[in-house]
Amino acid sequence: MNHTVAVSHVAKSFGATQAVADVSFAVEQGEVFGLLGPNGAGKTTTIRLILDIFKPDGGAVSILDGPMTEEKKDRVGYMPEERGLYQDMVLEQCLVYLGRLKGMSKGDAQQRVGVYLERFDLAQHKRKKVKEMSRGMQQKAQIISTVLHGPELLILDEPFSGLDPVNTQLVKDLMLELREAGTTIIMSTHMMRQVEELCDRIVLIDDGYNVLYGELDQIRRDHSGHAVVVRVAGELPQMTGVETVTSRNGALHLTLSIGASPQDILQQLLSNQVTVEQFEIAMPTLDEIFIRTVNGQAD
Amino acid sequence: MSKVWLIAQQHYRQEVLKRSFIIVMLSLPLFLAFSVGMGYLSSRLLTESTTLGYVDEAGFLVNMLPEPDDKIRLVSFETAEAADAALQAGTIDGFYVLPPDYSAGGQVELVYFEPPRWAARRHFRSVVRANLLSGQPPEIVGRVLPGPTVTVRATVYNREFPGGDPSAGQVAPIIAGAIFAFFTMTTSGFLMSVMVKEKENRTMEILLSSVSTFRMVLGKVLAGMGIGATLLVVWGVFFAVAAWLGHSVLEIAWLQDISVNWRDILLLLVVAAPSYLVIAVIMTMIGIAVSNQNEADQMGPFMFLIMLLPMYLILPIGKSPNGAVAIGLSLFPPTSVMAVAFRSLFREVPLWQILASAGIALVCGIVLVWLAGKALRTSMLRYGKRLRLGELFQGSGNRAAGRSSLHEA
Repeated sequence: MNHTVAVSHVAKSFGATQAVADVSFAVEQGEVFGLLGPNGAGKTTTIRLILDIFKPDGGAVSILDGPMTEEKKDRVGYMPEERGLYQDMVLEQCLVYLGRLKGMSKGDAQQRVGVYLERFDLAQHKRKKVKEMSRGMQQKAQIISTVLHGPELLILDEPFSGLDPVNTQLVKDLMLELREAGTTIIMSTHMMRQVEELCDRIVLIDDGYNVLYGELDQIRRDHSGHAVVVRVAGELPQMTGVETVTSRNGALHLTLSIGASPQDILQQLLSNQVTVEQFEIAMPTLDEIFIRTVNGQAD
Repeated sequence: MSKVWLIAQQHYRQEVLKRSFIIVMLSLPLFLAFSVGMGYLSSRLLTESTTLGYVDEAGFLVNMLPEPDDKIRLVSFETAEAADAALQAGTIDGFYVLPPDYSAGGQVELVYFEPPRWAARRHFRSVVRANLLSGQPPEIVGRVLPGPTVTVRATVYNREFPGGDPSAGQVAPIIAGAIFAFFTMTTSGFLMSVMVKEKENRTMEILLSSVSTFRMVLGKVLAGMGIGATLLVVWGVFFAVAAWLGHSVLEIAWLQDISVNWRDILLLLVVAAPSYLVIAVIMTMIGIAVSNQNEADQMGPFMFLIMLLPMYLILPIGKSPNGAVAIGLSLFPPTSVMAVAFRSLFREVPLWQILASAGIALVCGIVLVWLAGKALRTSMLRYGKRLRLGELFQGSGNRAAGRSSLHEA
């Protein structure tokens, strides 16, 4: 199968610092892919390797069916974590220029800029210099510059940072719309809620290695079984294999000790003649998986 | 449109449309025009005419010379009393008395309240000298009256320096060298500044996701050259008009001989092109290495001090135009243009040295462009921090030769 992006055992060092040791993953056409990891894990370096800004010391990167070329750069949209617009330029001119650098004609770029400025409620600011705009406005302008040329592949590094809830939703809607149109999106973020909402698959990088990789639902299923949600009539009996019991929304959240299974808990409840109104295996949040995995790696 | 041209056009347009650029572009010609114009007007309007009287008691002044301009007049008086009365009345600025024994003693008396203008006194002296030479063959008179003219000729090649001030044509290589220095300072300073700004604005990473480092740097270099060329063209047109006015209308002597040795200029261009590349890339790298504009402003001038080194060493270069210092500076890319320009004043620079200088600069330029690409990548790891020299070139490893199949975790 041809992947939109295929990263195979890439490694990259800067002097004595190993930024990426061995990272591999593939991004399929039309999916939203989460590139996750704690600070300093090597996410941004991996993105720069994908974009051919850095050359890998080892391994290989394939993007849009082969190595990066000048022509392919026009088919990719990139929004780095460190946002960058020409502060002294007028907003409209700045966006048209960045669009033309992605291979658009002047006329197309002007027309698309107009459409996006309307959509992002920036049309009335188009004659302002970028530096005269608020941080949130600049963030929206940055997003426009990234999607303006209709890229086949979007790489977004922390796309929601600096946005209020309204604009966060605006960007989420845009991402979903682009996915519907067949755009492949790689998103690097610390906001796990957004990942859960948007991503189909993820890779979790820690200390330069990938430690989790696959479909989001599958990963959550793989990490379930450590807790159950129970609603019973009356008191919960004393049970073995339960580490903690917390009450959430009227139900009890039981964290299981190592070796205990949800079936053990259910059997104990039934043998104690407890009337079980609800029993389900608790699916962990991505936050919990993230913390557990990263801490597990650290241990 | 090629992205290189797009980048060049964008930076060029943005810079030349700045109010500060337009002010700089117009200020120098306007300032010079104003200064020269005021000087010329004052010399024409404010200079009072000088009338000198003379009393020729010796009957010596037989031949009178034509007056050099309408501001100087010589008036003859019969007696010293008559001349003195005219001086008292203010109709003359002074008067000479040639006593009856002038031919024997050679003494002349000048009477005045305020010393008369030097030009008027010089004219009277010429008149006296012309009369002293009366009876001599015209060719002797023609040689003696203007005085000696010393022409220094080099024993090899075709350099010569006639007496008096050098002509505009003779100093053409120096003018070309100075123009190069100005051009380089303007454009490479711009390049350094753009790199710093793009680091500060964080736009560099976005650009690199659209174009290669080479194209990005090349586009900026072209923009810089365009900006410098715009200044040169505007100022060049101004100076051409000024030179034409000086030559044809004002008849300034210095501008009468502006024949240029085009061989020297052509060879200077051969050296200048790769030398410019070296300096521009070094300035670009300074822009990459520093963290903000203030640091760039502090470090940039060092490059220009190096570039102007031949100017400080003009004496050893002039004393020995083919010596080790002169040749060394000619082969060192940042100083090669100025060194070759200065050497051209004294003797022809050997062709092999020109070619060697251009070759060395070209190789250095290509290596520096490659290093600048590495430095650019490294700089993105260190936003807001200054890079040390060693760190500048760590950023880019070679693409690994080995490729492995995709492994799904």
